[in-house]
Amino acid sequence: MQGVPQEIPREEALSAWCSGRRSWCGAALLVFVTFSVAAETTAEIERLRERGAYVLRASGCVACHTDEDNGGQFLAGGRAIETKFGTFYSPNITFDREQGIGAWKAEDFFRALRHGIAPDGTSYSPVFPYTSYTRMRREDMFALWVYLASVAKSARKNTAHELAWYVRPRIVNRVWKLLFFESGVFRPEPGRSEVWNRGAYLVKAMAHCGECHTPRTRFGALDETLAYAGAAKGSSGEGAPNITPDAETGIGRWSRSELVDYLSEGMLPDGDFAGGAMAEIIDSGLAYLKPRDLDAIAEFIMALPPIRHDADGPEG
Amino acid sequence: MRIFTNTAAIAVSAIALSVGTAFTVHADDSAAIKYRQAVMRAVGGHTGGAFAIMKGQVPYKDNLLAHAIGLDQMARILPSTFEQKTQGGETRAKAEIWQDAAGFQEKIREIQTAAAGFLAAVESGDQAAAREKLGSVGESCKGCHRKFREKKP
Repeated sequence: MQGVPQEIPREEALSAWCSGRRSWCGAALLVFVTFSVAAETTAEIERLRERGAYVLRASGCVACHTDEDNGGQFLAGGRAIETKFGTFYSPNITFDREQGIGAWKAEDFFRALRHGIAPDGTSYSPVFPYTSYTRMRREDMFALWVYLASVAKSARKNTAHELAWYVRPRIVNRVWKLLFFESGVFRPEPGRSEVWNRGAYLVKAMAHCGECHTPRTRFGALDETLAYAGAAKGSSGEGAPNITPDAETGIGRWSRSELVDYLSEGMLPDGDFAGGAMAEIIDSGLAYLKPRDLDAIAEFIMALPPIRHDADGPEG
Repeated sequence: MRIFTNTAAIAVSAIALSVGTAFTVHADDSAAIKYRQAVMRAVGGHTGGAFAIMKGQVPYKDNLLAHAIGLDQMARILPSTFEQKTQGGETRAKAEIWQDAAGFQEKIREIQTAAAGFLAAVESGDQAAAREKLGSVGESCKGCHRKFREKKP
């Protein structure tokens, strides 16, 4: 038998060794190859699933897509989201083929996140923050998709939204997108640190902090001149405080570690624990993040230009 | 003249009394609210202090037991601060506290269990357990505030 060159993969090496031997060797080889390929694939899927679960938490999907107050199943939707345009009910995003997104192709999912377009070609209302998710990296979207496939399915039927007449026609969303939305990708700023850029990605593409903390115009578009400077009650649901580092109206008196504590535990600098929407967002999302990611978010938030804008109490 | 004076005196005292009563009821509510808030601040103060120590932000490890005892004591007296059903006033306490008394009691039990657990863990010197129990204290605060405390206006 000839020597086996080193570069040959072990399956082939084994095959070469096997040739000419008894037939059980072939069977053993088949079993070996099948198992090693399967093991590798399983490990890869497991890795993606884990990453996807993390993306889900970092992106704040759970708070809206789980109706926790009414004992709703994980990601089965049905949670009421009050806006000035009416009440939206989050959809079921489990993989049930009839009621969830089980019949979608991965491409449908990417298109929804990136362009705000449903599989039937209609556009979503920006209450679904594709306006932020559009910046999410493709590999993160894919991991999220793989993870969602592993979540227990729910056959909960979607609840119809209760909206003002003028936002009811689906075409309105399309027009809104033409005016106020541009698909995009996240581009790191080369002049900033790696930590800042990681924080920027987490805040802008995943956690979508600005969707609540930036006030909206009467058309429901974010008013970027007041980015992160807080939205009064009614602008978008229950309102959200100014999170720019302004000492009077924002979080300028907070230390970085106080901000990290708040994002991970929900504890305010005075030892109080807020119980509003942010508590849900922390418990169902941010609390799962690694300390270094929370630190990156704090880095980005603390470096925002301070804006004096009294939108709400300091707690929210 | 004497009768008139008497009548006037009675009328004045009646008015004073009624004003006084109205005022007293209001003052009672406001005092109860202030006391409740003082106890809440004590809970928050001990929780915040314990977190700062446990996270190593301040070096006062020896003070941890005092905070744990304080927290446990405050959790025990917490329900008494809601005995008076206050209406209106400068408070964010929701009416549901008294409407859903059973639900509220459950939340009170949660913080009492968490605080007692934290104290036990600190006394045993088990850092990991103490950290976890302190987390449960925070969870219990949040859980109750979410249901029974009004958002800031």
